[in-house]
Amino acid sequence: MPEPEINISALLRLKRYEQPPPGYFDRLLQDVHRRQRAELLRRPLWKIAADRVQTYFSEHSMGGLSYAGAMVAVVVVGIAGIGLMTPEVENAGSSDERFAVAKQTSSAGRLLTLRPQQVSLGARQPEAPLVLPGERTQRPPRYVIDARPVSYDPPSSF
Amino acid sequence: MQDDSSRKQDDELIARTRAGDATAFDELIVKYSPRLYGLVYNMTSNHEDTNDLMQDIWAKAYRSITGFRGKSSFYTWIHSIGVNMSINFLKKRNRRYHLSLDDVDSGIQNDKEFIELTASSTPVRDADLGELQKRLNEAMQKLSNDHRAVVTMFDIQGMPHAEIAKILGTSEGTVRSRLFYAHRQLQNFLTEFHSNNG
Repeated sequence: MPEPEINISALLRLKRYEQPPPGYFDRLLQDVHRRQRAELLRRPLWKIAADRVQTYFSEHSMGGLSYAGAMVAVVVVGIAGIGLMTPEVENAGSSDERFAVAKQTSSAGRLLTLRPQQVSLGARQPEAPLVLPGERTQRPPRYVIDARPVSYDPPSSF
Repeated sequence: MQDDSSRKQDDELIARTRAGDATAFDELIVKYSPRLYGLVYNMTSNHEDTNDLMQDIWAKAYRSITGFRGKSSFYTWIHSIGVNMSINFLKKRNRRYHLSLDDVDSGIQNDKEFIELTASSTPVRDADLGELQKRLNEAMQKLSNDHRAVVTMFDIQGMPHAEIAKILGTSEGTVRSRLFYAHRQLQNFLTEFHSNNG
């Protein structure tokens, strides 16, 4: 004779009566609160700071446009700051130019090449020797003549 | 499973929680903890583990509530967190379990199904109900986590297949299939127990 079937579903439904002890859910609420407070204390400082900034802005009811304006201001100030700190653009251009000239010089058997700036009257300081990557530093000696103007007048200090 | 007014009330509580009103979140805890407890307890079969998990679940829900988009109901969302966290916990936990049926509510004595089960000519009549429930819990623990989750939500909590499918992120067909397999396993286990004691 086959075994009669047990009504599994009916038996399982009886498990609904398995309840936690009385007062459990009140204690659970307290435990969750305690847990939330503990988690707040464990949060990293930067997160707390970010939250405070967010709260500050939300308290002052700033709209999306205000955030956008603030962001634009920060970007402008940043760009201006970077612009002030970097050297002038002209210098960078002339160094590129120099590099190109030097390259030509190197490929043309180191023939002397003068640029207009070098022969101008205002240019008194000799330019620093150029060293290209991979170029040998051994060069023929360079003699620098004193660039002070010679005067035949007696010095007035005597 | 959940009517419109209840859902509206939840939406309002969620909005208040997001705005920083902690009491609104307390109301959600009070509202959903009893059902959530049933789910987690029947997954773990242990009150202490259930208590720890309940705290973890609500803490996680509080942290993630800003990411709740309202595509599903809060009820589905919190149950999804509960099932996933319970399954993860069970994967880590050894197969230890403590069954405590001392807390069975006295209301069971008046339950229609309880009366029928103990009065009709079934194997249950001969067995001590407490012992049978204990065996049933043991049988539940023999099920895989996924099968146990389905049995818990369908048979014990009375959720419809569609709701379970949403919570588990699977199809209704899978839910039905798991349910069928789980029932068969439980049936085999309890019949074997009855035969051995008969």
